[in-house]
Amino acid sequence: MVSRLMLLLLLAAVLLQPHTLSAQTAPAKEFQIKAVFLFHFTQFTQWPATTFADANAPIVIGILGDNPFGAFLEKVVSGETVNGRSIIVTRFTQPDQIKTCHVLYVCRNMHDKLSEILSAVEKKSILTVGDDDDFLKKGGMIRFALKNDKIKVQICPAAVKKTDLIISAKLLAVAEIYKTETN
Amino acid sequence: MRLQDLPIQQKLMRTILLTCGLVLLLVCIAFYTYEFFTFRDSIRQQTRSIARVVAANSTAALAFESPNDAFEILSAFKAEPHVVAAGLYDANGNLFAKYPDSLPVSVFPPKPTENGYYFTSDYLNTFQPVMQKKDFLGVLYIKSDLKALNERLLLYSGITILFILLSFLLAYALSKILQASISNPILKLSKTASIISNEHDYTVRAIKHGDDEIGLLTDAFNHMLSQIETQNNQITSFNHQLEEKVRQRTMQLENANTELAVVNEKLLKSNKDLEQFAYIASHDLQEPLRKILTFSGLVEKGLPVDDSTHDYIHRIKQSAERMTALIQSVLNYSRISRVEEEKERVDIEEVVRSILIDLELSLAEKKGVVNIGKLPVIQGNKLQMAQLFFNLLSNSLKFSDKEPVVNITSEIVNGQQLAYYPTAVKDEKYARISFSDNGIGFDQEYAAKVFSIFQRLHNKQQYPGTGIGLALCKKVVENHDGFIEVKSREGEGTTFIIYLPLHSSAD
Repeated sequence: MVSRLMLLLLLAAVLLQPHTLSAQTAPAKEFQIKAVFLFHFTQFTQWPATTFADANAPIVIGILGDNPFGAFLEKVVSGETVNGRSIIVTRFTQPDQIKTCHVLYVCRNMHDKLSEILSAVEKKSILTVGDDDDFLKKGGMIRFALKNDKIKVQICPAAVKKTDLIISAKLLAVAEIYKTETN
Repeated sequence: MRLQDLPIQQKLMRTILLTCGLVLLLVCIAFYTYEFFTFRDSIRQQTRSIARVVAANSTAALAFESPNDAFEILSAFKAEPHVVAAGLYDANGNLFAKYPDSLPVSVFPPKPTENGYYFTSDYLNTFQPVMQKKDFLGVLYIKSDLKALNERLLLYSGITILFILLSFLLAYALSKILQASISNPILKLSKTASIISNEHDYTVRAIKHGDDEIGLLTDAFNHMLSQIETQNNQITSFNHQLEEKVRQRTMQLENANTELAVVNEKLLKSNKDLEQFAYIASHDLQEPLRKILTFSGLVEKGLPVDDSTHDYIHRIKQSAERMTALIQSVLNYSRISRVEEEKERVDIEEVVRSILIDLELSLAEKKGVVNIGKLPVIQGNKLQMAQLFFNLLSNSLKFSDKEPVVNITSEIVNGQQLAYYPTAVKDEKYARISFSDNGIGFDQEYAAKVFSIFQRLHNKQQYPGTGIGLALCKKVVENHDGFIEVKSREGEGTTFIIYLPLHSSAD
């Protein structure tokens, strides 16, 4: 909680003094919120134990693409633990780089490779998150939608069901449920 | 009115009512207090449970910043009418969502305070942290109205008061019935007791109502009554017996008194007769004696002295003279007894001196000496006083074997000092006249005898006399309400002590 408070102070400092900070460390507010949401997803999702090397293995958040968060996401998750596991962030620039991870954020610049990426991780118990308009349509699980200047979480339960992931009903309750036409 | 003066009925009543009332009150207070705390606690617990559920449900809404969802979750409080306000604060302490939506923000605390709960007079404020796993997301605030609690407590108070009143009435009615069973027998017993003490009728018995303490008291009371009755009868019969005895004794006494009076009368009469006889006899005896004396004198003168007949006649004459003296003495004695003479002022000293002149020759013959101290003046009979001192002095001269010395002295004493004489008057002053000689004396054991008439201690030949002298002395002293006593030792002389009242008050 202390780290979180420090984070918030830092955030305030970032917001108040934008000129002194580089573009890398001061992402748009939209991505700051998305970074926090990414962290929260780890709290409301349950992974099968087989996805972890051991009991203390960290939860890995993978960022695929041009990374709009800068170093902000690392700051959000640093020091936080979920069920005794720390959280680390890994970056991939190309889909073929994807290794073991628990959350995979697919950036917008991966639009053309979406189907390929999503089908590759389909059965790997990876929570896929993206911004792309077709993200859910193409088999993604969670999408950040912008509605009335607010970030709304959209979830496709059908995509989640194909894996061994369990998403908390509470998260489902606050999210918009996306239903595929085929279902 | 003091408590101990109240009738037993009221005492019982008060005791019962007070006890019932107190017990009821205590029970009700306990019940009320218990209800108050348990109810408060139950509301708190209930609110806490709800708060936990709602907080758990609110985590995603807070995490993904969805106030609408949060409001929806909070709207569940519609089912809880006592929740008047609920709010969610985010991790920064800013109000994130509120219920009801219409409520102004000012109603809510600007920042969530410490987790837990606190009571204000009308509300219960609960703060429940919202945590996802171990991550702190915000705080849920619930404001519960205690109106329900207060209403319920008010209802309880009403019921309690009603219950107390009803119980009190019931206790009053019951105690009124029950106390009669205790107080009635007591009242009846005390009524019986007062009847007995007023009418002194100990045959009355109290009626026993049961075998309780009052029954025992009744038994004891009745037992006491029968004892009193028995004793009363005994006392009455004793009284009768006593009265009978007293009556008998009184009668016997009266009889004895009557007999005594008769005997006394007879005695007085015979005494008088005797004195009369003595006087008449002595008086009449003088006449023939005088003739014997006269004629024996004449015969003696006519006869020559050497004639033996002369001697016989002389002896007859001497005997006749002695007899005359005797008769004279008896006459004197009986006259003193018979005649109550007028009292006059008598100077004893003067009396004694005139006697000394009369006895001058005898004194000179015996070479006797008489010393006279200061002697008193009394109220009495001069002639009798003269006779008293003449007899005493004659005695002293007569019963002496050497030259007689007589001392006559006197002093004044109080009547109280003569207490051993029953007839002595305590307030009177007495002259104590001491008359002592150096004569032959006598043994003190004969002291009482010397004053008896015709009593002689010495033979007639050695000390001639009639045996009347000292008896006459005693008679004279007693005639003057005085006392005479004697102290003597053989061969050492005799002292007569005479007490004569001065009658100073009569002067």
